[in-house]
Amino acid sequence: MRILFKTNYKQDLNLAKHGGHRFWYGLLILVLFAAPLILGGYYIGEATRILIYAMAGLGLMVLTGFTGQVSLGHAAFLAIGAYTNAWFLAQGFSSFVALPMAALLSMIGGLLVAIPAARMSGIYLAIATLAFAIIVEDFAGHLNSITGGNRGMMVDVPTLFGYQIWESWELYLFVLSILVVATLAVLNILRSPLGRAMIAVRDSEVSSQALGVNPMKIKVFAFTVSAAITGLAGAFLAHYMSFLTPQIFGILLSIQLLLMIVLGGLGTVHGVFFGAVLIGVLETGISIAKDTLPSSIGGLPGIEPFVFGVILISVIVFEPTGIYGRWIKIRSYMEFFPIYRRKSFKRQRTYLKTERLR
Amino acid sequence: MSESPLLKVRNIETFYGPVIAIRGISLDVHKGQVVSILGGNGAGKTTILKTICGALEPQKGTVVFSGQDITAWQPDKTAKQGMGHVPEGREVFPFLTVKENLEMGAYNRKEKNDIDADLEMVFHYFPDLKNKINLQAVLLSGGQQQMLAMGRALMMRPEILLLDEPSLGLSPLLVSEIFDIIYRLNTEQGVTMLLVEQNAHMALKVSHAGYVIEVGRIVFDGDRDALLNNPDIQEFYLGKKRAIGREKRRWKMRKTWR
Amino acid sequence: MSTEEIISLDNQTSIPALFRFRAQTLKNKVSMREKHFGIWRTFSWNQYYSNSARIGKAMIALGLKSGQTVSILADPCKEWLFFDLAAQCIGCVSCGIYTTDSAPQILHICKDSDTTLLMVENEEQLDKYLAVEEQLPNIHTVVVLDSTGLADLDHPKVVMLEQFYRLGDEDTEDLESEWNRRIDSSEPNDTAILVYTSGTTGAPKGAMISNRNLIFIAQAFHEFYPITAEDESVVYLPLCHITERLLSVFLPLARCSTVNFIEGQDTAFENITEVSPTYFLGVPRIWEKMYSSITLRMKDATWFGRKALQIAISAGSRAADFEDKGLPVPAHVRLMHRAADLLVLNNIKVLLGLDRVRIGLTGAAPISPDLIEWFRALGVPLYEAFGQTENVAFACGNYRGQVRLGTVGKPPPGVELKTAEDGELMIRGPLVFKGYYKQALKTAETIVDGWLYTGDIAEIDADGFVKIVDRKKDIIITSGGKNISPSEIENQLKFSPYVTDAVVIGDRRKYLTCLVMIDNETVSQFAQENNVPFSDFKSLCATAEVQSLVKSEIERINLSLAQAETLKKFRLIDKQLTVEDDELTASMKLKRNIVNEKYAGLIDQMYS
Repeated sequence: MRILFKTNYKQDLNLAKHGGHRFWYGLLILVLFAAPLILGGYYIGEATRILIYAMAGLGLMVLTGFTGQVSLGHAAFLAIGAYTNAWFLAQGFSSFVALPMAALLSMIGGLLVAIPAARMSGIYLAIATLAFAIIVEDFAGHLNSITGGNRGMMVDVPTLFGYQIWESWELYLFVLSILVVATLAVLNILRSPLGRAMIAVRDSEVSSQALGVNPMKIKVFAFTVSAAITGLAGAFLAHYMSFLTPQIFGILLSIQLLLMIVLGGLGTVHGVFFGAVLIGVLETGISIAKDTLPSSIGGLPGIEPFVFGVILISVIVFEPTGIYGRWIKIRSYMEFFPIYRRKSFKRQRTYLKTERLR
Repeated sequence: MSESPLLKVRNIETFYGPVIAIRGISLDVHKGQVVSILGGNGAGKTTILKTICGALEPQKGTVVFSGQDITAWQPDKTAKQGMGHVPEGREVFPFLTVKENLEMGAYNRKEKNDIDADLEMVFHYFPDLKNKINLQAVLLSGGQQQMLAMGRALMMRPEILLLDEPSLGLSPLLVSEIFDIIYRLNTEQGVTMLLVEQNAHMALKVSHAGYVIEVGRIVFDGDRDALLNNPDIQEFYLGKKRAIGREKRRWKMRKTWR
Repeated sequence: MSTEEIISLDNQTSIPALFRFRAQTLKNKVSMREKHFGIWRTFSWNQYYSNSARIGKAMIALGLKSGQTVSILADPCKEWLFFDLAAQCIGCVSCGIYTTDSAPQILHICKDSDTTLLMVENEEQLDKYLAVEEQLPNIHTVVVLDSTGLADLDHPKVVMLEQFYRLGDEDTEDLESEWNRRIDSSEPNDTAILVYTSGTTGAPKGAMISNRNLIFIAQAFHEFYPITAEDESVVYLPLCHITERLLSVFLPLARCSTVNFIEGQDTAFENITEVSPTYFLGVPRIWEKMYSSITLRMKDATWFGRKALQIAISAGSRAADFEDKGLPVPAHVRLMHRAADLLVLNNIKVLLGLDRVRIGLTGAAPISPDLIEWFRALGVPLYEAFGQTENVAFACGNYRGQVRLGTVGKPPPGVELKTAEDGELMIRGPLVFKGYYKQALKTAETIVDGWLYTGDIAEIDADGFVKIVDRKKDIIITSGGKNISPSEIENQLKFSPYVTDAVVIGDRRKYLTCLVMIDNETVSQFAQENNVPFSDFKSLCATAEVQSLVKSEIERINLSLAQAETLKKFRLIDKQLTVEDDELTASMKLKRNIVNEKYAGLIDQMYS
């Protein structure tokens, strides 16, 4: 248990509030960067996949978790980012140009969606984002000259200042660095007035308007930032997969992203990572299990989605606050041991008010 | 009252997450009585009411209603048992008309024949509603919505009516009117009521007995006269000033409740 | 140990001189912290000294002469210390008054002490002064710290703090040199402070305590309880009480340690947790409250947590046993204790704010040995000590390696103890106060031949440990002629977590009975656990289960008492008393005489 001795107001704003934070997160970053020294090629590849999911999830969390805008179409930004990156690389530009362009074009896409979508809420917003995703997927299929259409498109390796990144561990470190920067950026936005405005809009648009916040502007901002980050993730996804087809970016991917952040812990940055790890590990785990199980079980069709579904449902039923929520409970237990109160997190019944006239 | 109380609440404790909202609350309501729960903001009055009707689950304690243990029953079940709840903030169905709201009150009634007669009874006590019978509830004023909510609960023919802050957000004149109606409902129709109020003055006018809650605990209880004559209640809840003079001013008085 | 022996600290023989010396050497080291708007703000020794100097000079400018009295009526805050030291530096006597005192009580103290300048905290305290001001013509200035609510006050004698400071800022060399001159002329035997004994009997008397007394005690204290410049303490008890004064004003002055002020009574425990002091003094009630807050919380904890705590405490008490006897702790015991501490006990200490406590003290009332053992097992070194206002708060104490539970320890070097024929404890040494102000007769009764008659009956055992039996005046003589020490019985009762205080009655009666004040928190919890319905405190006391609970507690202690000493009947005091009630002293103890009077009816019931 830690009791903070406040001697300065700035202490409340710090990202790392005390020595413990600094130590553990520092250790985590170190371990992550040192991972290629320990893990073999296959696992590094899996880790890269998880990092990319995390980046995509980070973008979605900014929009859905922190600004409260549901998006069923984030795969669209992944697509825009992926194809833009691949195209620019194909034209001979280095990643130094291709990546920012991927982010930029995604951002423009986000802006385009935001302007109509920011006026909508609830079901209508979800449908609008879904529509956008379908449109982008369609475009990707039809713009043969740029995207290679349904036949697909090869993706060159990333190039930085003339150096070509062929090794999987090099890609891993590249993605990790950008992810760390993106995470810090998001954390900083969240502790700024802008971030607080986003959360205010999520919690109560009426109240935030009463305080001078323009919900439209905030939502548009959230959409663009979210799209940019997810676009970057898409760019890296292109490198990971090496070959792009429009089918990758279907609605299933959007739903998977959404599931990821909800199961991880909606409304928290930690949740993004927990969710990415969960989904990544599940996928890997299931495919490994499939190989080791006797063929009578392993060969059953639809076993993957089945197991996937069962695990996801279990998480939702037993821990609606997500994995991060469960982690908080475990951490509280250890922090307060032995005085941890038995029913600290017992949820009280809530009977929500029906949606009223806005 | 020699017979067993209609509502017996014993030692309930309710939490909101890690925070204990009420602790060690025990109270009785006898048939035909109006009992008030008084206290300031955040004292725990609404929590008590919600625990009784089932909208909140207590961690300890029991609620016995008409001899039946209804602790932690879901609110729809307690409603079927005859517990009418008029929630804080009215909660009328905004898009239903006044008539439809009232009819919703009779949802659980087995015999549907007396509904019209009951509607008439409600309009008798709340004449303002009769004019607006086909108006959507959202278009009513605060006071009219309060009346509608009460009328809706009355349509249940409840054994006991739980009223949560009926005076909240209403003008003094309306508050007077509402409490007048409460009084008449009790004396004329014999409706048993458990009333939660911040407006101690009004509440004590119509109550037979009362409990004063502070920080989740009962600090005083008694019948109406005991409450009205208690100097602490007079000073802290009824606004009476003590003997004037700088020396007599009670600074930082911890309410000691003798 | 003649009174002529020079007692000095760092070559300074008076508090004012020591104060100035500290400021000159410590300069920017943190001397105190105060929480203001959510953050802890620091004040250096320089600031401490310069603010006190400004106040002292203002006092000089207003014409205060050496030997006059300055009274302070405020809750602990940095200005309390500034005024205290300022008054002493200009040769005046500093006198503190409890903020819970009523106007008549304040009148008595100000009149008796010949106060000429009064400092009050706020409007509430000012009101009390204004109520009796006609009877206090000697007070020519009243300084108010917090001017909230007094914007349109226009009183010739009342000055706000900011104004007062400016009086001392007047740029005259005369003031500066006068300030220094007065410090230079302070003598060891000058009365430094006046402390009015709160007293459970009679009107309060002002005890005069000299510079020499204070410096000696600071040294003596250090012998048993070494305090260094890195130590931190929390100021939360009233500063007018000699013990808090010693620990928070004079000890830090002597040892250069830092004090932290609590924000207010309501946040005291929270602040203690935040500061996490390195030495801590509490009356037994405070330690009991801490203990019961943990036990109450553990009731709601997980099974594993409860089990773990049980095991950890037993590991800790085994280690503590060795330490108490001064023996080295065996390796495996120490290892168990360290593990227990790391995994389980540390969190409890952090919660209570006791994780850094090297020296825990308890005094002013007897404490259950079991409680001390529990805290020692927890890892908080808790020592019982004894002192009175008349011997500057510290006459003897248990300390590391010299602990005997149930006793108040041994006297420090330089202090002599003996018991009179009737068992009354007598003390001699540089810690004996000068006497009662303007009360030559009473002083003559109390100090005879250099020996201070404490008024407490005590036993000194073969190893020199002192056991306090009772206040001499409180001894009860039953109608059968038996001498009973009520405190012994009351303390037994008070060890129960359900009992806050008790008064044994039996003077000139056939048998003993008692009045009991129960603890609201623990008894409510008991009622909740046993599904006993109750509404308010009165009804809680009236329930059959609570009555039988108290009865069983009484029967439990009756087992260890002689037949004539057992309590035959009891009644509960069914209202929650506060310090503002006549029945309680400022330290929340029941006043025997008042209780006997006010509850005469209840008492007669028990004897009819």
